Amino acid sequence: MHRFANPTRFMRLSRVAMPWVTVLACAALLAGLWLALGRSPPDYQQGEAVRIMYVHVPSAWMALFIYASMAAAAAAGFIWRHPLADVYARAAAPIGAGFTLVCLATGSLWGQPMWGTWWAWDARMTSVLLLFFLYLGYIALAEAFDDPSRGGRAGAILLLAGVVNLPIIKFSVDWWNTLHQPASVLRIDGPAIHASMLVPLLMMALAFKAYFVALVLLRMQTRLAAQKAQSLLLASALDEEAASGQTSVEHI
Amino acid sequence: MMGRYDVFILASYGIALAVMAGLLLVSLWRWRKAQRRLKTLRAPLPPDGSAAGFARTRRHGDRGAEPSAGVTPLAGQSDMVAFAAAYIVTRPTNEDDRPAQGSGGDQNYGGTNGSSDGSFDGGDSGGGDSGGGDGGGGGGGD
Repeated sequence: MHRFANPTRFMRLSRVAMPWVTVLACAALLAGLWLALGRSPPDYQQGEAVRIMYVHVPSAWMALFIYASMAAAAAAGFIWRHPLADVYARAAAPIGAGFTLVCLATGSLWGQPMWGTWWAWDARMTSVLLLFFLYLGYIALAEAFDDPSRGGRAGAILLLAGVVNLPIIKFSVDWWNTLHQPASVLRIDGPAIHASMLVPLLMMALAFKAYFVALVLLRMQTRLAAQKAQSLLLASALDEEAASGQTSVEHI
Repeated sequence: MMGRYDVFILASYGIALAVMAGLLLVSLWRWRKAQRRLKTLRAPLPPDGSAAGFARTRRHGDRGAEPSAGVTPLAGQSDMVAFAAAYIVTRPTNEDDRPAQGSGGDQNYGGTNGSSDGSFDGGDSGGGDSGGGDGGGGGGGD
C-alpha cells in the first residue's frame, strides 16, 4: 500500500488502469442488464419483482464496501499519514452516498408491491438510512473547514466512529426479528439462491464494483490536479515576487 | 403490455442508472475543469506577466486598498485563491513598511507629527500625539 503513497506514482498507475476498468464496467453492466432483465427467471413468490434485487443488493454491498474502505483510509491517514488517504475518502464519499441512495430507493420500490409499504422502521432499513446520513455528514464536515487538512481529520474521526454501524447493518437481520429477509448470498453455508439468479446478481455486482473503481480513480485524479494547480499558483506568485524584487515575502 | 410490477422495475433501474450517470457526468465535468486549469497554469508566462492569473496588485508602500484589488482570477479560479496569492505577494513585512512615525516617538508607530527639537511643539513633550507613542523627550521649547 505504501508503494502507492506517492501521488505521482498513483497518477501514472491510475492512468493505465482507468481505461481497462472502464471497459470492464461497461461490459459487465451491459451483460448484467441483459441477464437481469432478459435471462433470469421470475421468482416463484415474488414474480418479476425479483429483478429489482439485481440492483438493490449490489448497491447495498457497494454502500457497505465503500464506507468500510473509507474508514480504512481514515485509519491509514491517522496511522501512517498516507498522503492519498484523505484524497480517497473525499473522492469515494459521494459515490458511496449515491449507492446508498439507490439501495434505499430500490428497496422502497420493492417493498411497496411485496410488503405493501414503502418504508418501515425496521432495523436493517433504519441502519442503512443512518449510513446514508453518515455519508452526507462526512461530506459536509470534510468541506466545512477552510483548512483542508483539518476538514480531513474531522471527517476521518466521523468515519471511524461510524464503523460501528456496519456490523449492525450486516447482522441486524440475525440479531432482531426484522421485516427485511435474512442474508441469502453471503452466508456461511453458501448462497441460498439458484444459479440462474446468482449469476446476474454477481454480474451486476462486478459492474458496480468496476464502475466505482473507475469513478474513484477519476475523482482522485481531479482532486490531485486541483491540489497541483493550487501549489502552482502559489509558486508562481513567489516567482513573480522574486522577479520584481520590490516587495519581500516572509511567510508562505 | 406492462406487467404488474414493471413500473417498479423500470423505476428501480432508472433511478440506479440515473444516479450512476449523474455521478459520472459531474465527475467528468470537474475533472475536465481541473485539467484545463492545470494546463493554463502550466503555460509559460508572457513577458509582462499579464496572464499569470494574479496580476500584481500593490507595490511597496501602497496601502489602503484591499489585498485582492487589481487581481484578475483565471477562469475557474476562485476569488479566495486569487486573494491568497495576492496576499502572499503583497504582505508587508519590512521595517520600512511600517506606518510613518513621528520623529519624536521612537517606541511606537502611531505618532504622526511629533517633533523633538522643540522648535514647534513648545513644552508639550513633543512625541507622537495620535497613535499612542509617548514620544521622546520633547525638548524645552522657548
